[in-house]
Amino acid sequence: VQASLLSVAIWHFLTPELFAKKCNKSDGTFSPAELVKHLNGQFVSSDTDQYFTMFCAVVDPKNDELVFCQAGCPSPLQLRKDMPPTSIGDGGYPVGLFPDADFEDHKTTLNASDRLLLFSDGAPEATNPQGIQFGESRLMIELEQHRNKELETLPDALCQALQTWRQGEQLEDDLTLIALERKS
Amino acid sequence: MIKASQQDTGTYVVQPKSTRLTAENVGAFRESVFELIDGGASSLAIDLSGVEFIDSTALGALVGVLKKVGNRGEIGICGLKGNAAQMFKLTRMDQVFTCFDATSDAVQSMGSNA
Repeated sequence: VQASLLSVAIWHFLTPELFAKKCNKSDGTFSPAELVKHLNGQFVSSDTDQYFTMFCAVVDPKNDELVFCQAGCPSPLQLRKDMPPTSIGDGGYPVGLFPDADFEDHKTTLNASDRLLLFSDGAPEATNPQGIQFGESRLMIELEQHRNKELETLPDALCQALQTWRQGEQLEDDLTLIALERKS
Repeated sequence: MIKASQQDTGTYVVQPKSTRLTAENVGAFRESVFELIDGGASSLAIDLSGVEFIDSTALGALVGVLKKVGNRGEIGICGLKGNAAQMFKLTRMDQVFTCFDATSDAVQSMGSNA
């Protein structure tokens, strides 16, 4: 129940206006970390251990870059033309645990037709009957194998791969999968 | 849910009895550790060397323990491995908690600070 209430609170709080106000800097650059820092200040509490994780990013088409702040969530995977999948970001504090947590902006090249896969920990941590986790490397394989197929079908394909891995057993954790592609 | 023993230095070594610390069982873990703290324990070395897997709820519970002790004492995390070590690194908790390879290192170091 608490997690549901928290997600509703974030949903109401995080408006497009707030996103633009905090991420757009006066010099024309972007800082998603500023928004994450702001959210951390709003949701931090000294007497609870409730928190949330997020990946906050802005596409900078002028510089062909993705500017992002990773806050406690698994590192997303990136699929660029003629390159094997890579994971981006090396972690960061979750939101709402510590008032003084420092959040950082990072950049990666993002050209037209490049893809990103964002996922919750339920994907890599899904175990098969032998207790082996699906892991990041199998997500990378799925992403690569799906390279020339429609992006829209990627989440379903991943769900199917996870189901097969689980041999029909339900996932133990909730699951979020977001597949993105820069069109132009 | 936990096995706790006080060392000569005063530090309590706390071991979860499960190899998985998740939303399913971490409530009982948190409650047991909170009871220890309420009973006066202020130096705790939490031994996770036998824990194969921790999830995000368990991570929150460990932070809850850290916050409960606050400035009155100290928490050490020992024997992180595999998924738990990755989780600590990913969320920067390896910079928030004082982490030790072995429980004996924690007891020695924390005891000398007491």
